[in-house]
Amino acid sequence: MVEVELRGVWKVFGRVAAVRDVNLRFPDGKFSSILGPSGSGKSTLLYLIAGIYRPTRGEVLFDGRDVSRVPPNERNVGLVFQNYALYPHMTVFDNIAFPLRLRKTPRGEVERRVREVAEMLGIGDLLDRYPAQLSGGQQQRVALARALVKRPSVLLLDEPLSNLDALVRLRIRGELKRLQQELGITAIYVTHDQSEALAMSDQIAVIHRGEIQQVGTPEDVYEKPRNIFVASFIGMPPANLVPAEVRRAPGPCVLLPGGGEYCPRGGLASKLAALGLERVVVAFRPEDAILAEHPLEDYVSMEGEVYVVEPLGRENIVTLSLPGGHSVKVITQPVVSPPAGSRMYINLEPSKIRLFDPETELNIEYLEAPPTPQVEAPPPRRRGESVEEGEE
Amino acid sequence: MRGALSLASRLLGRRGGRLEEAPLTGRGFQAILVLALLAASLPIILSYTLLVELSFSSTLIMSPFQKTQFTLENWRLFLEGKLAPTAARIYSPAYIRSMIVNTLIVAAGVTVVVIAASAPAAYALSRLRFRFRAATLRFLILLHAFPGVALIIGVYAVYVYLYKRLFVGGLLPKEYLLLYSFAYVIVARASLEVPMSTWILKGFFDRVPWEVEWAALVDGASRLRTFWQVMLPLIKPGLAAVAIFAFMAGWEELIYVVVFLPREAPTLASFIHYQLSGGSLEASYLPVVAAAATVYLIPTILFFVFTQKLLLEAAHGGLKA
Ligand SMILES: Nc1ncnc2c1ncn2[C@@H]1O[C@H](COP(=O)(O)OP(=O)(O)OP(=O)(O)O)[C@@H](O)[C@H]1O
Ligand SMILES: [Mg+2]
Repeated sequence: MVEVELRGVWKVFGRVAAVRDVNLRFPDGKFSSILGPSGSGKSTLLYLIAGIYRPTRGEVLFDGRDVSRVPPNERNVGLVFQNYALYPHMTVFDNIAFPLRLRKTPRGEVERRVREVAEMLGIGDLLDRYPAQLSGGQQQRVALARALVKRPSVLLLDEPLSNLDALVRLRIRGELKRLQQELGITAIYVTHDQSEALAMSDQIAVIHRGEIQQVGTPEDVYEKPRNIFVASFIGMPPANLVPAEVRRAPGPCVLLPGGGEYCPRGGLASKLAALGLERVVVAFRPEDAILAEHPLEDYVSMEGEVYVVEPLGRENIVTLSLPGGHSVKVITQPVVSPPAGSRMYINLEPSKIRLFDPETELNIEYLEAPPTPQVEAPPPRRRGESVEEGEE
Repeated sequence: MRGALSLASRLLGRRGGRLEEAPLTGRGFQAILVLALLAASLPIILSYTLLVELSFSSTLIMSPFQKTQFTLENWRLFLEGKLAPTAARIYSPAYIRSMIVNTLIVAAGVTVVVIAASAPAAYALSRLRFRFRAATLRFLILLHAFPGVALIIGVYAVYVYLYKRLFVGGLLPKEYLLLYSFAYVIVARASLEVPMSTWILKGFFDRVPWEVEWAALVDGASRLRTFWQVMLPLIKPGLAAVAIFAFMAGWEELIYVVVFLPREAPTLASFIHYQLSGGSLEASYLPVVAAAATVYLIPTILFFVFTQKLLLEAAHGGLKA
């Protein structure tokens, strides 16, 4: 197995930079996810690792060896495509056997290994069929079998579950994770579904518009989003974002709409003070807020008007509107179902509140205190911005 | 806006304009269409019927209503090489057979050359982005629009030039002259088919998803093997269509055959041509020529009997599943 690393990788298609200056490490034997919305450059990133695309700039390393110029057929990667890309003119058996036959594997061994991997994935009785005769879930397994049969050093998966229905998805999700652990293979999993990424990964890299937004464990990404994009992309429903003003004296305090006041302590307070921001964006998760008819002690409270209640069985999602017109969502117990139009208090534990710089959109926690503000990352660039040098 | 869009998509059929889903194809409309087509093609149908009928008839039919008797005599005469029933054996049966073989050689040769040239070209045009690609594609269409007759002088010049180089220059002994003529006819005729065939096959390649090709590369196949084992099998309907068109073009070719093949090595087309021209018309018995012409028609007939499905597929541009 290998460790995959990307160093300063760019991929430019004509005027569009699909991947911008990506630096990432995918640890050996771990399950890593690349998470991002549609069109963010996930597939492009995966194809760069597989060798289907050559980086416009930067390098791809396998175990420290630069493979940027190595063609895909010499990289020994297994790739499951977003649409499976099975060979329509070959039976399932021949599909799975294809990589082995290309390596001149002896006949008996081809037979044995195809059957072995097919049994493992529960498609042993489909070997004589053609891809068109299979369901989506079965095709997905065949694609996986084809990727695994050659014992790749890296397994690349491009949204392999996105075409399946919810139940099958949940089941295969578990199987995939177990399989990866059993084989101890380096897996890189591309998805736009944050719950998949959170559930399966050892490491998540969030990508947006071709740029990596944050890399970390699922807890990191969930609890300590590095910028507003990550906060608003992860979570179901995602974090609430509320603009707020900062009062500078005596200590810096954030004045929330709806009456609340949040005065951070310690490092965060000094960073906030040193940055000299006049406005911040406050983020909190819907499940971290407690809805009550009164402000709770030791909590930061905002008053809002109930707009709608959506019962989901296990919980309710209550949408409230704050003064200034911002709406926020709060997850409550199913018994909490205030009538629309009633006024309620949203109570937040101070430790659950995150503050973001509205300019750079970065989490203030992650910012270095001045004299060098804004060193962590350049502001988000626009799509289609001109980029030096280009191939294709 | 919504309404207009959905109407447009209904008119066009769900996926990019499949005509059989259009609302205009009611029963009545279909009947009118069929009648109109029949009326328009009546002269052709009549003359072909007459031709085939003539080859089985005991007398020379001059009109569709003439009474006649069924006979295989013409076919016997034709296969024995007796072109005028009164004449002595003008041609030997072996000659007739070799004529059919010649026709097959030209037709098969054209097919092979067309496929061998247009499949790789179409693949490159479909998959590679290179300078002047769009211009090349437009140029292909232009080339196709060129009538082969217009090129004959240039093609003849090249024939003579090569002939001088090869035979007068003494590179090859004279025995190879016939081989050279055949090869020349085949390549020259095939090159007229290559532009359109390339265009058609490009359409088929375009429909193979990139991912399938990439999958093969990632699985460890070289580019050549990917082309051979994955891409070509996936465009089989296109290859079949192009092969059939090429075969028919070679089988039916007259001008290039008359110009470049010696008179002693005729194909069916040039044979019929020689029979009907150059003053031999009176000497030959038309029912026997009709038998030759019917053999000449066989591929066309087979083509329409067996390739309906294939043609439909080709019209839809390939890839089932
Ligand atoms: N071959 C290409 N030529 C031009 N632009 C491309 C090409 N491939 C991708 N792009 C562009 O690059 C960006 C990223 O595409 P990519 O397919 O990597 O997104 P993705 O994250 O995989 O999206 P999805 O979740 O929809 O699959 C998109 O804006 C896309 O239009
Ligand atoms: Mg994708």
